[in-house]
Amino acid sequence: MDRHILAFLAVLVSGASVLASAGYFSSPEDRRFYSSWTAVFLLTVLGCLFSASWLGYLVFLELSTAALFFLTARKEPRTAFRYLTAQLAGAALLLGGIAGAGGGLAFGPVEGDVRLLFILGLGVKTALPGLHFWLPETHGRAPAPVSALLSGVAVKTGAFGILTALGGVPSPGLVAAGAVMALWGVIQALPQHDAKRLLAYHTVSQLGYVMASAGAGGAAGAVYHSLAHGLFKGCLFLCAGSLEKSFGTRDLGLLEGRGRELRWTRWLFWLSAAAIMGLPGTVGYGSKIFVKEPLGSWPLAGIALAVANGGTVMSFCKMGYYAFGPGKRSAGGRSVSESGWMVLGMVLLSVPVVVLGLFPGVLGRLLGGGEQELFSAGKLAESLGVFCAGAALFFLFRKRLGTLGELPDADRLTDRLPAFFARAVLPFRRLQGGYLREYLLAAVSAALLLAVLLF
Amino acid sequence: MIFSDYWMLWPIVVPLAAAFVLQVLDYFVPERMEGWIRISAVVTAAAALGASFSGWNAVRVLHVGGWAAELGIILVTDRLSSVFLLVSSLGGAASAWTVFFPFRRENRRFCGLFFILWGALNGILVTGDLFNMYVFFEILAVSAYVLAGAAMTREGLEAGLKYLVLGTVGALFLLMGTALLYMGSGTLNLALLSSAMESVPRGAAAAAAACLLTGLGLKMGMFPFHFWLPDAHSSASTGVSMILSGVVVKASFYALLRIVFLLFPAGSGFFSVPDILLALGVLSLAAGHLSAQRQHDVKRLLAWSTVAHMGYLLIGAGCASPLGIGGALLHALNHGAAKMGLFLGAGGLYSLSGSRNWRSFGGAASRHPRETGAMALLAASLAGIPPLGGFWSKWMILLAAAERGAWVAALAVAAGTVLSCLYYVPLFFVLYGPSRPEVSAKKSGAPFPGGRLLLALGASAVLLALLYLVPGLREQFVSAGTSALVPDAYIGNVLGRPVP
Amino acid sequence: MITMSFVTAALLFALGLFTVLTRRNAFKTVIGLTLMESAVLLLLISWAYVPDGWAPILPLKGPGADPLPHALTLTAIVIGACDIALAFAFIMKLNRFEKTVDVDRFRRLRG
Repeated sequence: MDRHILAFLAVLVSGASVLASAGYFSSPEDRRFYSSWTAVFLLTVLGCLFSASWLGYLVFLELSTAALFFLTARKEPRTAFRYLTAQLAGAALLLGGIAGAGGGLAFGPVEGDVRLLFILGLGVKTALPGLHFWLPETHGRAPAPVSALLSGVAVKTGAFGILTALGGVPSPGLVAAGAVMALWGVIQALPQHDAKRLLAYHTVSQLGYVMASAGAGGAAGAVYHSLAHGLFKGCLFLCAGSLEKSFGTRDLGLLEGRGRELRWTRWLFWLSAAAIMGLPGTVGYGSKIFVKEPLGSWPLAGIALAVANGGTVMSFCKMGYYAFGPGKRSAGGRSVSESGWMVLGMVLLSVPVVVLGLFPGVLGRLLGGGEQELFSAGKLAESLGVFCAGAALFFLFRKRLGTLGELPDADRLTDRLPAFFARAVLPFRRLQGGYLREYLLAAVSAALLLAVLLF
Repeated sequence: MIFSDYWMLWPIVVPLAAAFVLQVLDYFVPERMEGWIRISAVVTAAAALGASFSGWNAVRVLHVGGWAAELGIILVTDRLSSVFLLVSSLGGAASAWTVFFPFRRENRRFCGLFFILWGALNGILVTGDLFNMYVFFEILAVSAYVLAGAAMTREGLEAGLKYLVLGTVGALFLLMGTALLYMGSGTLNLALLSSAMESVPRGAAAAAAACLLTGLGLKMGMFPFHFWLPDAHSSASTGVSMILSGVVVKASFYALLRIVFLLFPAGSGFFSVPDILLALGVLSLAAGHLSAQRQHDVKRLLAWSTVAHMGYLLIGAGCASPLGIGGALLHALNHGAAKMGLFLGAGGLYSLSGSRNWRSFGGAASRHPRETGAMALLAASLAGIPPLGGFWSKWMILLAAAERGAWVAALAVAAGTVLSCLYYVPLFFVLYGPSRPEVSAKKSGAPFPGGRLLLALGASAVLLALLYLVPGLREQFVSAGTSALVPDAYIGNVLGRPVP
Repeated sequence: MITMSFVTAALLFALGLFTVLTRRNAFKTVIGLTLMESAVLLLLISWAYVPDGWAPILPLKGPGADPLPHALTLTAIVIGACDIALAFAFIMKLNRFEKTVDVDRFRRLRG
């Protein structure tokens, strides 16, 4: 059942992305390129989700990476190259894991030491702490419809893989990792003024929720939140894209509230923001409840997630305020149009956000989550309480937030890798020095060494 | 049918005869050479293909001159040789077409040498005698030295000289190894030697193994004997690079497989030869992939990539299992096709843009989309992107290494994909990027030399995947690996005791 | 198997190796290669020795020396001659371009 839910998500987000790309890109060649490669991407993701063996899963995963690489490279080649390298490294780890487990492994739970390789390999895809270095740059710089695919679908295939590998066995390490991700994502998101980079860090944070739930053994919560996040994050990225398309910038400092002229974008933004904050009536409310359910034995993680939730509220209040809130009017009162196609894409994703929000139990039952009273007073109070706290904190610290700087993240280290690698390559180039006598010496000494070793 | 026993003779005799005839004809009727070269190439390829098919399902033995194995030279084909004969046939035909047709017509004067090279290559693949193998190696080497240095540029001559010196040292070691084995056992026939290895004293056997490994390593481009390879394969003209990188190094690998698994399957020393192959394979892989980064010359980049892929073959062989060797064989096919296609593409780009620096190839994709796409497919196959052929052969090797517990080798094979992408992606970014104005004005409309062959080779990147995905075909390669590893059928058939 | 030949072959090989590794003149490199090859061939030929043996030509009047190494050596000498000739051709052609036969100066291809 999990696969079908995620497949449904993939189809929806891909459809929305194709619709949005009709509006986001001006040239017809661009539109054709993005539509066709998005279709390819969708097919590869479906192959991933419905594969029967781990090798098949990996093959389709690499193909989906290739599709995303092409989609990103058209406009942002450097970012795409770094994305590809990171993902291939993860895939290599996963491939090693599959080889270590025997090669013909059916797509199911993995036992033993080799499971670590699986988690690490898939962890690159799922942005586990330390392995997430590629995500802010890639999701932040790629064109908005592609970011929607990346954050909405691609990372979920990795999460699905981790869920399958765990097979319901709780993993405290993963719970801790999830808690860390959730907090770190929010901490990094608060100072951001690039709207898409902000959203990208929130993807890290929300994936933390998914990982924490998966690690606690609750597959239902993980899948529910994957679906929810895919829907509202996809829509949020399309909103950012709409802002970018209409105003030429996605920097919150420069937008100064002009976004409120884009009526549809504004309303759909607030709807998706409400979903990510976990407010009742949206799919985010139900998903947060199902995520928190198995965390009863890990109270610290629960607290961390609640704090992260508060931070998320703050962060989206900030984004909404600076993008769509009070501020300057456009010069000359000229009204700015919003792209109809992009709005259509956003609507496609927002409808399920509302529908599933009004009937959260349906999905919960489908996923096999426990029966519980979803709209109990306690839960409603918790959700609204966090919202009020977060909103209050935002208004109190509004001025301070503008001056915060971003904390150094893992990509500072990985950015140094190319230079380090170039230096590591030098000895090999020195070996090939052009001196014939050196080559002969190498050959003869190796022969001697071989004779000794083989004796 | 009496001719069925002679199948393996034709791949040697036809090209050698053609070489002499063609050289003579070239002197008298140079304008009509195209047709004759074409015919010779086709007949040779057909002969090799025929020998390949005849040896696929049964071990065939030919006693040249009617002498028994103890006294004379025998020619043997079994499934292992058949795989390489297939490579020789198709690869040789593709190279022949490239050397003599799309590019400079002056290459015609090397027709003799080319066919001698091809004939000697086939000789290595079918001979069952150690000294005969040495002789064919030398014939191959001499023609290769000349063809590699034929460009008569400073770089070409330097590359040719270094190839010659290092190749001669290799021949020397091969000769020494042969001599040591002869002195120890009294026979040169591979099958008889295999049975007689116990009587060879341990020191002599170790020394012979080291000598043969060194000699074959120098012929094959194994680390640390690979230093000539980037120079020679990049300085040669396109067609010659194709046959050198695509077929010649594979023939040396075949000789390595035969000699190692017939004569030195398990050592008595601390290390066994397959272990050494694993270690050297990992080193070759590292040296090749790492040195390919930051190369300006596209052909040198491809030549370093060949060193790395020889590393994959060595790792597959070093696993000493049917899966590993089968994977290495499949990879030999995949790499042969892909590397030949990439060299063809590089040659075409060079002739269109006038420079070998790949940073000057901008905009090639907009002018020649199909050829660039074929090159991209081939590069992806070599890098190991599924579902192309190269991924599956690497997977077989990786699985074999993991089964054997060789974690470093497995890690190296898995990491190879990332390392390859690091140098292929920038190249293709340039190809698919914007073109420089002066180039596009000059060269638009010119056809891509060798374009059709490139497209065919590009299609092979996909088709070769079928060799793994179709279970029956995959089994053929694994059983070829078994026939290499467990040479009872080979030995039995040579000695006249047919083994089912 | 004659011990003296064995020792001589070893010495010759070492001498050839030394020449190849330490001398910069390309011609000397080639000569060093020839020396090494001669060493191996000497080893091979001396293996054919049979005490009180006759040359392996029919009709034999007693035990005959092993003819196989003789055949091998002849073949190897021919191959060696071919290699040397080719090497000299390369060196002369390079000399025309580079105006030197110093092996360490042939360094256009590196890295």
